[in-house]
Amino acid sequence: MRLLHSDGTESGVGIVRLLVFGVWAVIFCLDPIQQLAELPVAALNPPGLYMFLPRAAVEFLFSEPVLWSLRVAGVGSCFAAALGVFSPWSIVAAAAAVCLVQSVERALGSINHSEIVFVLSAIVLAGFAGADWLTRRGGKRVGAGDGASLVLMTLAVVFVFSYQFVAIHRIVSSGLPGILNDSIVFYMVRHTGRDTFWVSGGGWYIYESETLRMVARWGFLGTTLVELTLPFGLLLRRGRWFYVAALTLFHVGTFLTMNTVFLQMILVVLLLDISRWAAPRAAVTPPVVFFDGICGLCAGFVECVFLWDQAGVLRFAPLQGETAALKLADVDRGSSRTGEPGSIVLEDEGALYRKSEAVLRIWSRLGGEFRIYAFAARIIPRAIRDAVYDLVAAHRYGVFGRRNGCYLPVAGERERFLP
Amino acid sequence: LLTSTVPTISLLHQGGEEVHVEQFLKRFVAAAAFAGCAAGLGLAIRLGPRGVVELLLIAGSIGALLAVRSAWRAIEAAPMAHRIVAGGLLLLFVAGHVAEASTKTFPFVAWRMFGGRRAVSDPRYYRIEGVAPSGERYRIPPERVWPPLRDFRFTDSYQLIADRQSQLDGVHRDLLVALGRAYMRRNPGRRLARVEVFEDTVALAAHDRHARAKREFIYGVDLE
Repeated sequence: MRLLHSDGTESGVGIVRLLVFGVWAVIFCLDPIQQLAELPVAALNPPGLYMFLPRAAVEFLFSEPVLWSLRVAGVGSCFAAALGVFSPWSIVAAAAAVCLVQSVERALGSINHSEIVFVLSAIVLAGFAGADWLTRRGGKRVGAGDGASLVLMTLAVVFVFSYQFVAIHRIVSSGLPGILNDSIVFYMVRHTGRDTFWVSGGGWYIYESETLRMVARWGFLGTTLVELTLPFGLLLRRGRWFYVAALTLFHVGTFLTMNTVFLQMILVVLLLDISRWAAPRAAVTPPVVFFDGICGLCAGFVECVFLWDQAGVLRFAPLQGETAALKLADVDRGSSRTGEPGSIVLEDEGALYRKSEAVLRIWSRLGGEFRIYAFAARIIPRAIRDAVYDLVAAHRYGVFGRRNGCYLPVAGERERFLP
Repeated sequence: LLTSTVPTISLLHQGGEEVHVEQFLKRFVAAAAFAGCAAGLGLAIRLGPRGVVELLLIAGSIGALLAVRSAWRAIEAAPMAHRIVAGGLLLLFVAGHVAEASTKTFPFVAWRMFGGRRAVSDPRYYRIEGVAPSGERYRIPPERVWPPLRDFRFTDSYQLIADRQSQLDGVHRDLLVALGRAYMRRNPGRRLARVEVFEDTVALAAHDRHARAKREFIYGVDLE
């Protein structure tokens, strides 16, 4: 028996990081938390560490400028964390912002669980990023082995255990009669009647039909059993699809009957085998990235791609080198102002890709979150992408500088650089 | 800040490896942060018999996962720092669940959704209305006035305030005044003179939601 994510990759962690902090960045963008400054401070009881603050500090915290600052900091740090920029600082800052904003938003009272798994996921990611920083010496992480598996496993365990804890508590506190009585129908009716952005009225229909009430009661029992055994979803590769389907059905049901959206449902991706599908795609002949060796921008891009390409999928060759002269001899050079085929060209499975398409295919080859970036960028029409590429390429020497000689790989890089 | 301000003075040698002050401080800060969280959770834990049963079931579940050999392989392959982080976070996660006071232990909270046994009774809802000087009435859904208070945060906590109206009269009044003013800011064309709260009780026994709404006035504040 294998545990899901026990063969996790850095790409898998990258996907989850993009998902978690990307969602938080969007939430912070859309959520006007500065409006909470309008609430009377006496009505507020922020949870967590805020509880220990003096009232004057809470008043200051709930002032509009502070809440605006918190929102801006949250958006910035979450976007940086999602894109893996300034890691690990951006990840730790983003997790702190998430916790602070969530405490502020829950200051009026209730704590519900629709976002808590997302909060905990941010904390888990920050915890591991912080651990890497703690053990880093001279730019290298101390310790053997690949840590990605444990990061993914911890995230998946937090996700599935959040459901299991709910089921355990329900069974221990209410027992079977508590599940099979009309408790869930009461919750449905109560939630249906509240004011919210989305009102389906589903709870009313459940109550009014004896058949639907029976379905709800037994469905509640079924859901509890699914929640209770959800950790098996981490073990059974085929059975996992049953759990994914059951959770989806359950959350669509709560949306329709309780007007409640469970944010953590987005993390169902943790039940999928992301460690495999996020891994870079191997090719029989390694794709070759031809780059302008005397261009500061191109050499910088190649250095980044080299670092991101941990699986060593790509090979690199300067456009001014022998390999390019051989392989790109027939390429139309008249289309470029410099008389060269372009600043970046990708040869992949016998075909040549240029301009923005070359960049996006390089991202796809890197796997993980880069594949998602490439997918998202393809929404932009190619003509626009290429126009932006041409604009940057035309000014690349002026803005990013020109190197006197070709980019020289250092020891350890040479086997992936072609002449 | 630590890395830039603390000089990396070689303090002592352990097995030929230099251990720096910076490294000590980093670990000290991390350990202190974890100890702070754990102590906060520890103080909030009130473990009754039900909590013990839940804890045993959770421990059994974690044990079953750890019994899988590939889990052990992944744990062994991970750096020591990662193992400590994973173990520490799971510990806080479980402790937050068995602690009684979720408010104190946030963001490590108890997971109790739909866990209580509830008899089906007639549900009650608050309906907040703004009254214009002309007498015209507007419904004020609080979650639309303050979107960050989504997921019923306002109505849940409002119920607590309304239930303790005698002790919290000032808070109650200030909250409704703030709501009325915020509503006017979002809807510049609508001027309110008063905010009123009603309680709608739905007669479930009738099995007909259209026959609902026994409406009762519970509170009102003047805005002008």
